[in-house]
Amino acid sequence: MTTLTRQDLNFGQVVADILCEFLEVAIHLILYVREVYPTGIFQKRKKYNVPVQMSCHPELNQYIQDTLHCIKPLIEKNDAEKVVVVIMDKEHHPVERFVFEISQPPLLSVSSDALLSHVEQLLRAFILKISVCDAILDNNPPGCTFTMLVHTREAATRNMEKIQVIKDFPWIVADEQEVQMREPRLIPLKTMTSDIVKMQLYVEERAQKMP
Amino acid sequence: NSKDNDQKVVIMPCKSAPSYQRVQLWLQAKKEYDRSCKTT
Repeated sequence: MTTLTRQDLNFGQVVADILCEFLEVAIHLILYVREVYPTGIFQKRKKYNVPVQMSCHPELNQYIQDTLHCIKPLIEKNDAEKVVVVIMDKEHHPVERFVFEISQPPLLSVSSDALLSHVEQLLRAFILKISVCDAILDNNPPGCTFTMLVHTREAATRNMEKIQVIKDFPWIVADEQEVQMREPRLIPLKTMTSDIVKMQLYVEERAQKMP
Repeated sequence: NSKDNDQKVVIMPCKSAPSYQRVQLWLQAKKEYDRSCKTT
């Protein structure tokens, strides 16, 4: 068994690659399950050995990819505490927030490929939970949109600036309106603990969704 | 301690995701295009 630290070659990169690939699938699935976009733009694919729905709308796909491209360096350096998919009503007030709380251990024990296979199994469980979460959530009002939030630290955002310029995808500090939700109902969906990452997914749902 | 001075922040993309209406229009156009391809 080999023990690597975060400073060792590729450790942070491997974790960021795995998480960003997972987040991409999760975001598409959330948008499908919560009917943020017409169901016609989604196509059935297989990820983590389970069927998922992925958008085929070029602009939306690019938006998700650009978002994750900017988040990836934060995850790589363990600077992204939470990644949040926020579904907002017509007035841009959050109605639901899917919160991915991420923490990475300072040391990594690499034993074999079985490790990655184990992580894949754990991520599959998240996907399955997301695909059935509509059963426990109230319907959203019509005309919802979505955005992404990242909980990080000021210094880390300064390191992001170069990537933002290259991708022409600037980020700003979120308004209170996007961050706060009145009397949210907390719905835990899934928790995983692996050698390379700990992650918790929960939904915060606004008590009164309809206008 | 510099870590203590490093404030927590919540950030978001400046750009908005495409709206439902915009995506709906694209979908209608795609369906019409697919239909026209089948008939010709």
